[in-house]
Amino acid sequence: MKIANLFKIVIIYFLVILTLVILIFPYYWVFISSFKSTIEIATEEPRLIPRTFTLKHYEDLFGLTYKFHHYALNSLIVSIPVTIISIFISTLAAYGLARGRIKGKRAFSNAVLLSYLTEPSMLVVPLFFIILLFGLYNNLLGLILTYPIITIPFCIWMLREFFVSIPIEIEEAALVDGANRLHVLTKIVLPLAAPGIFTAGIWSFVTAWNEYILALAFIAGLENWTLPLGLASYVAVYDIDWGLVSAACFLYGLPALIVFAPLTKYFVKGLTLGAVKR
Amino acid sequence: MTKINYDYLLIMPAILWIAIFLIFPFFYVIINSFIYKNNVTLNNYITVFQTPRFYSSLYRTFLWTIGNVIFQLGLGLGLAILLNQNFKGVSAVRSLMLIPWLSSNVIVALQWKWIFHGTCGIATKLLMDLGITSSPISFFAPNVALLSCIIVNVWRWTPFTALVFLAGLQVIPQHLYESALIDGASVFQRFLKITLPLLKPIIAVWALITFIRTFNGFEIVWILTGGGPGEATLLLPIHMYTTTFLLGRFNEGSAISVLMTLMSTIFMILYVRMAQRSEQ
Amino acid sequence: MSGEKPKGKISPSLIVAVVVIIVLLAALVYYATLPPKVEVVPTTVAIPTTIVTTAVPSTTVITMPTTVTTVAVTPTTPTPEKKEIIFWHCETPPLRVQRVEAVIRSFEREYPWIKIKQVPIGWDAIYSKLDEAIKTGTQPDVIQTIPALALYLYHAEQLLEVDDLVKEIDGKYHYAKEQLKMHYWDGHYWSVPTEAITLFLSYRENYIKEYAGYDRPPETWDELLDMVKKCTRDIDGDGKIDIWGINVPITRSLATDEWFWQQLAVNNGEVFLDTQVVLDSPQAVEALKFYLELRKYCPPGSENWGWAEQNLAFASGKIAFNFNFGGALATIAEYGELAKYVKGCPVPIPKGGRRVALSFGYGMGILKKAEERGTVDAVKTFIRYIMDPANYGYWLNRQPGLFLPITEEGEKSPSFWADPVVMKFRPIIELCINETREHAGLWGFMGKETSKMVYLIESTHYLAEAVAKAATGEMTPEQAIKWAAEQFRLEMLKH
Repeated sequence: MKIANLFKIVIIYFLVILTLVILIFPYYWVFISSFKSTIEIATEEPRLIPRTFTLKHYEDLFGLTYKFHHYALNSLIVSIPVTIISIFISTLAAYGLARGRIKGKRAFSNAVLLSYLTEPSMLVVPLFFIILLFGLYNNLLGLILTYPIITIPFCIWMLREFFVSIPIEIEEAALVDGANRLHVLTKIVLPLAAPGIFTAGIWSFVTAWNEYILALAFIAGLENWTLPLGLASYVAVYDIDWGLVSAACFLYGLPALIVFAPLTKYFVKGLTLGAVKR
Repeated sequence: MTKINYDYLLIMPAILWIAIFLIFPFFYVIINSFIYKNNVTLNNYITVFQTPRFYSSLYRTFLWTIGNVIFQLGLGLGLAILLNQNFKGVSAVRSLMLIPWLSSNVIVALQWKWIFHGTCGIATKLLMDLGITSSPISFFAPNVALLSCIIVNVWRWTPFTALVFLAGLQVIPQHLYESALIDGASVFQRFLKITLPLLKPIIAVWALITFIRTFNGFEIVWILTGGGPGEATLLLPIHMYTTTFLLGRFNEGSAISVLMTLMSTIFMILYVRMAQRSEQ
Repeated sequence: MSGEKPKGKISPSLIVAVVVIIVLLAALVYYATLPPKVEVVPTTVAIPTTIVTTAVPSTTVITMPTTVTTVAVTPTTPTPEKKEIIFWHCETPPLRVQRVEAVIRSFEREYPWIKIKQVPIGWDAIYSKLDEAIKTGTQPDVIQTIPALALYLYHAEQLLEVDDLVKEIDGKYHYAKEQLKMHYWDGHYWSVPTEAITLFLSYRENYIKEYAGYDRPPETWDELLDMVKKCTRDIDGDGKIDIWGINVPITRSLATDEWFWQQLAVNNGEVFLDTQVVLDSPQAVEALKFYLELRKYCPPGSENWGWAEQNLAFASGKIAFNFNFGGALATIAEYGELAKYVKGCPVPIPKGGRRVALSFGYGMGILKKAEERGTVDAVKTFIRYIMDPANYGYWLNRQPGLFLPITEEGEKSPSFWADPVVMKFRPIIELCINETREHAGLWGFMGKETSKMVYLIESTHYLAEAVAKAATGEMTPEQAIKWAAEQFRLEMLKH
C-alpha cells in the first residue's frame, strides 16, 4: 500500500513538473532571448543558457524606430477609460439584475450571456461600419467606445454573482431604515463587493490591453497604434530582430501579470462560482 | 404616491451601450450584405458561395476547431484531475495556470513563432538533440502548419480549461468516492461512474464555449502564419478579414461576416438550451 | 461568496502591485516626453552658394543665418507668397522619415516662404487612404510615387502632367533612358523621376568558393542552381544541414510577386503586355519550375518568410545567395565579420534569356490639388532642390544603398558616396547603378505601350498566390499559371 502511494506521489510530482515546464518554458525562452545579443541569436546554436548578455534590445525598444513607449501610452489611453466605463456600466447593470424589480430580467440576463460568447472577430466588420459612421476611423476614441462591448458581458455576469451572494438582509435592513436604493448601493453594497468590482476592473483592463483584431482594423497610421499592433509590426516588413521582439513581448506581458497577480486567488474562486452556477 | 421604479435606470446604460455598439452594427452589417452597387440584391452571397476559398477555409476551420476542442478538453480534464490532488504548492501551481490565459494572443503567437523558427528556433534544435529528427524541420510546412497552430492554441487555453474543470471537480462530494471505494470500485470505474457524469454539464457547456471561441479565432493563426503557406492555415475568419480589409470588398466581407455569425448563433442557441437544461 | 478578506485589511501583494504600476507609469511618461533626437545636417552637404556667402556653418539645424531671408533664390516676385505643401510618401521606417525631415528643413532654410509637411503612410494603407482623400477632397499637393501608384492616380484623374519639369531636369542632369519610360504614358510624363530601387543577387564569396568550387558569381540559371545545391550542406560535421543555398519567398506578398516576376522577366515572360494579359505562356511555366527548384534548397520554416527574415538569414550567414534590393545592405553591415564576404552580381539569366533587373522608378507626382491651392511652383522648386546633385545624395541616402541615382550628374553626387554603408559596399552599389541605367525593367513597362492595369499585380497578389499554390502542391505549375492569368483577366473586366 505504501509503495503504491509513493508511486502515486512520484507520478503526480513528475506530471506537475512536466506541466510547469511546458507552461513556463516559452516565457523563459523569450525572457533570456531578450538579453542575448543579435549575433548570438542569429548565427549561433540556440542555447538554454545564454552566452552573451546585452541590454541593447531594451534600449532599442524605446528608440524612434520601435517607439514602444509611444504605443504603450496609446494602449493606456485606451485601456484606462475602457476600464472605467466597463466598471461603471457593469456595476449598475449587475446590481439591477441582482436586486432590481425589472420585468424581463431573465431575458436581459440571457442576452448578456449570449453577448459574452461573441468573439472580437465576429464584431470586427459590424463595428467597423459604426466606426466609419461616427467618423472615428484611425481614432483611439473609436477603440474606447467599442472595447466595452467585449468586457461588459463578462463583468455583468461576474458582478451579478457577487451581488446575489451578499445577504439581502443587510440591504433590506438599510431600506427599512429609510435609505433609498442608490444609497444602499453606494454605501453598503459596493464596499462589500469591492473585491469583485476590483477584479472586474482588472479583467477589463487586461482585456483591453490585449485586444488585437479590432485595433488592427480600426487604426491605420503608426501614430495611433496600440501595443499589440506595434508588437506585431516588429516581426513584419523590413528588418527583424528576434532579441528585440522577445524584449517587447516580455515588457508587454509584464503589466498584465503584475496587475493580475494579487487577484489570482479570487479569480480561481470566481471561476468556481461561475462554473458551478452553470 | 406612485413610486417611480428607478431600477430601470440601473440597466439603462448597459442597454444603451449594447444597443448602439452591438445590436445596431449587426443590423447594419446584415443590411449591408444585401447591397451591391446601391442595389438590394443577393449578389454578395452569390459571390461568397462561388468562391472556392470559402469552402476550403470553412473545412479547414472545422478541422482546426474540432482538433482544438478535443485536445483542450482532453488535456484540460487530465490537468484538472492532477490539480485536484493535494500536494505541496498546489495552490501556487493553480495560480500559475492563469498565466497563458492572461497573455495576449499576440504574445503567445510571437513566442511560439520564435520557438518554432526554422533556423534559429529552439524547438527544432530540441527535436534534433533528442534524436527525433536528423535535420532541421519546418513547423510551418504546408502539411504541418495547421497542426503547429493547433498546438499553440491548445497550449494557450488548456490551463484555463483545467481550472474550469477543477472548479467542477471540487464540488463533487467526497463521500461519493468514499462509498465507491468501499464498494470496491477501481480508479477507472470511479472516474467513469462518478466524475464524468457529474462533470458532464460543465464539460458540455465549456466544449460549446471553446467551440465558438475557436471557430471564430483569428489572432493566433494570423500572427503565426498569416494564413499561409499557400492556403494551409487559411481559416474562415482570416478569409473574412482579407476580403474585407485587404481587398477592400466590404459588401462581400459583410456577407461572410453575417454567415459566420449565423453559424455561431446556431451554436449559441444550442448553448442556451443546454444551459437551461442543466439548471433544471 | 462575499469578500474573503475582512474589511480594512489590504493585502501586501496589492501594495506591491500598485507601487510597481506607478513606477512603470512614471517611466513611460518620462520616455514618451523625451524630445525626439533632432538630426543634425552634416557639413558635407553643400549648401547652394546663394546662402554660403553669408553663411554660418550649418552644423546645427536651429540657427539660421539672418541674411538668408534677404537672399532671393529663384522667386519670380520680390516677396513671394507663403506656401504650404502637403507631401505624402510611403517610406515609413523612422530613419527614412528623419532624413526626409532633415532635407525638408534645409530646403525650408533656403526657401523660407515654403513650408512642407511630410505625411508618411504605409504601403499597405496608401491606396485606401488615397481613396478616402479623393472622396473628401483632402488630397496632398505632391506624392512620391512608384509607377503603379502613379497609374492608379492617373486613372482617378488626380495627376498633372510634368513634361516641362522632366525635360528641364533631363537637360541639366541627363536621365537614364530606361528610367524615363516608367513615368511616361499616353503621350506625357505623369511623375517626375527621382530615383530607383533595383534588384540584384547578393552572394557569399567564400561559400561559393569553398563549397561549390566557383571563383566567380553565377551568370546562368544552371550555374545558380548548381551553386545553390552545393551550398546546402552540413559544414560543421555534425550530420545536420547548417547552411542553405538561397531563399525565395512564397508568401502572399509583394516580395513573392517581385522575386517571381524577376525570373519570369529574364525568361522573356511577362504578366501584362500592352493591353493584354500574357501570363499564360510556356516561359512563365518554365520560370515557375525554376523557382520551385530553388525552393528545394531553402531553409526550413522559410515558407512564411518575407523580406525581413530572408535578409536576416543571409546577413547571418545561413544562406549563400539572396535576391534583394539595396535596403538589405544595412542589415548585412551589422554582422561585421560576415559582411566581408558579401558580394553582388546581376540576376542570372537562362539560355536565350534577356538581361532585366527589376527596378521601381520612384518619382514625384503633382496632383491637381496643387493647382487648386496654387502650390505647383513651390512643389516644382522642391523637386528641383532634391534633384540637384548637391543635395541629391543626401536625399537618396534615406536608406543607404537602397535608393539609387538615375541621372548622370546625380551619380557623381558627393553626399551619396560619403555615406558609410555606401562606402562599405561600393562595388555592389556601382553594380546596382549600372543595372539601373542599362537593364532596368518593371512589370507593365516592358512592351511598346504601358499596361495601365499593372497595379493589379500589387493589389491582388495573384502572382504570389500562384507561386504559393504550386509550391504547396495545390496545383501543378501549369495550372497555377493558368489560374493566375484567369484571375487577372477577370479583374480587368471588373474595371
